[in-house]
Amino acid sequence: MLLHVMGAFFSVVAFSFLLHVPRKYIVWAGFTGAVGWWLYLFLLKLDFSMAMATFLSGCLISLCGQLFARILKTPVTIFVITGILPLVPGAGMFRIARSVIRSDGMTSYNITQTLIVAGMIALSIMVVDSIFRLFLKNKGDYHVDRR
Amino acid sequence: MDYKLLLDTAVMAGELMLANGAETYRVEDTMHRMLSLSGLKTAEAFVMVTGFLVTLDDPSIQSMTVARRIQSRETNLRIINEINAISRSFCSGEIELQEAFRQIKRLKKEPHPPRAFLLANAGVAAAFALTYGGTLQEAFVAAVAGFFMAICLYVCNRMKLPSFFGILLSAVVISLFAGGLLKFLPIIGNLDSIIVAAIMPLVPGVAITNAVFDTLHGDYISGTARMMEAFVTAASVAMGIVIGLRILN
Repeated sequence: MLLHVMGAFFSVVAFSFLLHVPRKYIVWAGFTGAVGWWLYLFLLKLDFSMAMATFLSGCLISLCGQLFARILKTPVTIFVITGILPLVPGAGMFRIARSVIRSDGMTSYNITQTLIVAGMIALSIMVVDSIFRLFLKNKGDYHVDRR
Repeated sequence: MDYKLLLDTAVMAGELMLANGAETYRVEDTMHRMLSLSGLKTAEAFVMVTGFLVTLDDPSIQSMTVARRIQSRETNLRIINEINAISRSFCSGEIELQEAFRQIKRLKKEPHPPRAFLLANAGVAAAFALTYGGTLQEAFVAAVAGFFMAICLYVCNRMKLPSFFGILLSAVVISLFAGGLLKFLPIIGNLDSIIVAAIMPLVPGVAITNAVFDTLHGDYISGTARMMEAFVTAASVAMGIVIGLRILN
């Protein structure tokens, strides 16, 4: 498991270069990703369903994002977009398209799985964001916020 | 206040944000906030994934409308970050309109520094192989495949090939290298998990999540547009991989 979490850390760090994350935030982004992936693996081990594990680790990631954004005075997006990278269903999208090409009958299963994961991540980010918005009146955060 | 300059500033900010992968509601909101500073009766911004329209209108002036088409999109979180800082200090009155215009213009003209693009791609592939439970040998193969994929992608971008085709070719390169290394080197590994790791930089995982996010947010046009974009990208990746494996066998 340590190897997997380390892998998550380095994959987020490497991806941050591709997304042009400013250099001083990269380690924090990597940390966010690693923590999220650790919680995901941990919850799967505890026999949580994949949807639930994704949702909870998505919550942890955006919590970290909100925290770091306030400490480092930068938009939440920087940490959330990079932090969810290990969770995000990139492989799922690939499997959907591949099963369509091969017509192996797995298409609808793959679509459901991918949409569940994507939906859970989006939902978790939204939930945490709304909670923060309720209790903190938009202090020093991204001023460009959702209406 | 110079309304023309204000409109130009807002349009340039919106253009940069949209071209560098900001969410549509964020672009809309930034432009709306900047235009609202004019105090005119109508200050409207309507943003889609592929372009936007902004209007300033008031009984006292001739109405002004600008439309922009965004041709290509990439993700550059640094630019989004800086535009946000500029528009924040502009809206809170810390800097003048001319200063905001100058800063955004400088950001637009600034050349993108050539990052360690190839190494980063190789690193992403290797690290994702480990993340998804692969062995060190698998990570090595994924890194090699990711490295050559990045070269292919770079060349395709320089030649201005359509992105669908560039991604397809890069996926072919991945499956050729991953399959070839497994075949001709004494390496034991699962081809499928190597390929899944190596395509990570190409595959639209964040895009589909953003699409769902936009849809949940009530932004149905961008939600659908992003979803289509994600599916087209995924289809070209999968086609490339399947073609490459066919060539090998």
